[in-house]
Amino acid sequence: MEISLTLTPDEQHACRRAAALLRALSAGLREIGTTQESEACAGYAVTLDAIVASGECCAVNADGKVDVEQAGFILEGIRDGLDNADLDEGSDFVQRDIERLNDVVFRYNAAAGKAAG
Amino acid sequence: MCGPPRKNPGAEATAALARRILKAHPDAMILALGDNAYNRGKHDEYREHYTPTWGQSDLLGRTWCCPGNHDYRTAAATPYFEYFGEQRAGTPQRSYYSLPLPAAGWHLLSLNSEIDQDAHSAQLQWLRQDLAARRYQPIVAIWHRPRWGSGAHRDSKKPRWFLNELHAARGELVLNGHAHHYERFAPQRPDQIPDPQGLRQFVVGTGGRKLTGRTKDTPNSEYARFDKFGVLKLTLRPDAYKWEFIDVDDRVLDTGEQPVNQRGR
Repeated sequence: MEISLTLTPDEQHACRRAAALLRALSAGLREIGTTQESEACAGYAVTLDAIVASGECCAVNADGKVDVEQAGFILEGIRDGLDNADLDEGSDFVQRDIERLNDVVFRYNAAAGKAAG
Repeated sequence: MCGPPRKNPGAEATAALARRILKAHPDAMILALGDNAYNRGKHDEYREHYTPTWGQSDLLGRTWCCPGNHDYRTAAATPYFEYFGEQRAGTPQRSYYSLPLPAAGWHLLSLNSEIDQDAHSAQLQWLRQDLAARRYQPIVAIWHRPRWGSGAHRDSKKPRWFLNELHAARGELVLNGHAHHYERFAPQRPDQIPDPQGLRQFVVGTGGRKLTGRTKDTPNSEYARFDKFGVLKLTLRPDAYKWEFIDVDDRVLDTGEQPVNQRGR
């Protein structure tokens, strides 16, 4: 189900930053031979790039929404990894992006529910 | 909680445990806290994985639920709503509901943490109206994504809107899933200040999906287990509630009792 969403500037920035992290993670995973996960991360990054490229208004389908959610979950791992005495500012930074990605997911779900009627 | 056995090794045993509890307490309700059929909550996943375990008629007939993020991996979570039906799950358009529990004298709320829930959302407007009109004072609320958690996913800020309303209405209990462990919090205010008359939150993500470990220490967490599948048995009375977290070997790992909130009475 394709839903037209209006993204706030914060959400667009979060998508852009998440895509950058996922591309880097994908490259690292490819380098260590973890192919399937590398391809999945690259795919999520492509979806986020497309959302960012659409600007304020974008069309998201169900698979794209799952990609955004998966991106958020992977960022949770990055957040947790950075959550130590030396790097916790980075962890907080990633957490804010996770929340913005979740906002996009929740808005998609709500709109899809309405449209299902 | 249910899915291919390799990634959901506990579903059969927790369903059997629920059946044993239900035999002893035939009037008991089962509250399913979302993500019931992995990985995408599709019709065939409900049929192949939920139905043989938690979806057997004796359990399903006593089940009420709230949707999880994996249920929403199908468009509008339609299979979830169709599987459980409007009385026990709501509809894609109105995916939250309440239920009086006359025998216990409690009010049950099932909320949806996977859609808009902020101040101007339809869901929060409904919640305010429902709380104002309820018949019974003590409130138990269920939704999927916990506000606080020491395991996978950690905290989620969004449900603070629910907590604000429930705290103002002198709510008692919040039951969540999402993270695959068990955790009990001390009663606290929505801003995480400990308060004996605040809301007590449980995370009960131990229904079958592979368990996950601790990722942090969360303030006011009183007890957590990351290594046991099990169910939370709640006994609700008009004046008090009792909790028992029971593992699949019938051992009670965490138990306690508390009088209901007397705030403002």
